[in-house]
Amino acid sequence: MRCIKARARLNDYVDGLLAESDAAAVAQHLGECGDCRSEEEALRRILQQAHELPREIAPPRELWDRIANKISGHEEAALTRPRSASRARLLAKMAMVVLFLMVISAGLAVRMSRNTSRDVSAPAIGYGDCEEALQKCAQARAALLADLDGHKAKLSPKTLTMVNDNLRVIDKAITDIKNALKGDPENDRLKGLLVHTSAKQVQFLAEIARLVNHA
Amino acid sequence: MGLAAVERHLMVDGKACTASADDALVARARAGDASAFEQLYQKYAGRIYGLCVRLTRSPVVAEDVTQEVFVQAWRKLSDYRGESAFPSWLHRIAVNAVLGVQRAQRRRDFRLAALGWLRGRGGTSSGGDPALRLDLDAEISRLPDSARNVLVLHDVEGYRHEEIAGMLGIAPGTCKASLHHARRKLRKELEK
Repeated sequence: MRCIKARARLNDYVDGLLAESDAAAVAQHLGECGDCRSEEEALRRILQQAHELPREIAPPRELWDRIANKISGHEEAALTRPRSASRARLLAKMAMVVLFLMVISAGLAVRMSRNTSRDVSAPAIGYGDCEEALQKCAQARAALLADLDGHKAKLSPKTLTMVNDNLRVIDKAITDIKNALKGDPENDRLKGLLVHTSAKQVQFLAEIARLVNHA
Repeated sequence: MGLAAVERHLMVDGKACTASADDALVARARAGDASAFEQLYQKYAGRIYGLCVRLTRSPVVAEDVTQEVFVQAWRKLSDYRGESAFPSWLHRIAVNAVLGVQRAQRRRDFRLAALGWLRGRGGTSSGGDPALRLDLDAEISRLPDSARNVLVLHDVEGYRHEEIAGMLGIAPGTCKASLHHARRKLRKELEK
């Protein structure tokens, strides 16, 4: 056997992967060739050192505590942990929407308190004042319902029934207010009530989304 | 797993740990007994953390990966059928987790070298020249991910090429070629 062939087989030889006859041929060559024997010895030294490397390294002591926390709460965490950055962003956005709606709703309440009666001299609250708020409510409601629909399996049947019952009640209230406004389109109190109720619905949905997403 | 690797896996703190002892703990843990799972953690965390440190080159990343490995193991206990030894099942989870980290690291082009940490940290193994061991570890940490993964799993952990190929999702021939390349590189660097 020539050196080039012996060296090509050296790794398999020291790993014990060669067939018996091939291993014998390499061994014979190593017995005759000092250079190749030096190669073999250098390779075996590295393998010996690699074998002696510490395979066990003690992890930090507090690591088990962190793992224990994770596994003890992982069922709840699976229910409440944000599943993606997009969902976290949705919640952050909804928080801003709810804040905006609460401000608008409070503003309308203040204006209504100034107009304690159907005083024709007082500036009326135009429906346009409410339009932006109602539009935001509709968008937020749609986004939250879509999110909830995708994750409602995480809610217990009892909680889901409660959520649906509450949504039906608020939806009916909103429909009633809209019907009343059709008959009395200039009623500032009804306009304020419509925005307030819509905002409350978004707030309710945002709370449910937080329940599903957050630990 | 090769016989030598099985024997090495089953030795913890100098005591032979039978697979049946692990199976009993796994059965209890599967039933929700966290204390049984903690015993498995105490047995194998050092091995998993050691593997992760060497493969990720970072004790900080290794800590996170080790945590992820045991959390995943707890969640997947129902999938563990006992077809392989429990520690090798853990190793597979660890290697998968490390591969994920390495992919993320490559994407961020973010290199974490734990050379200084490894130099300053003692191991539990004895034998050989400590300076040589540290040099070897340092050189291993400088190998490219693919070569380092194969070399650590084969020459340090004792897995066979077929097993490593399965874990890393590569052909056995590629595994062998990577190992020979890694050894050549190590020799060259250590002889400088």
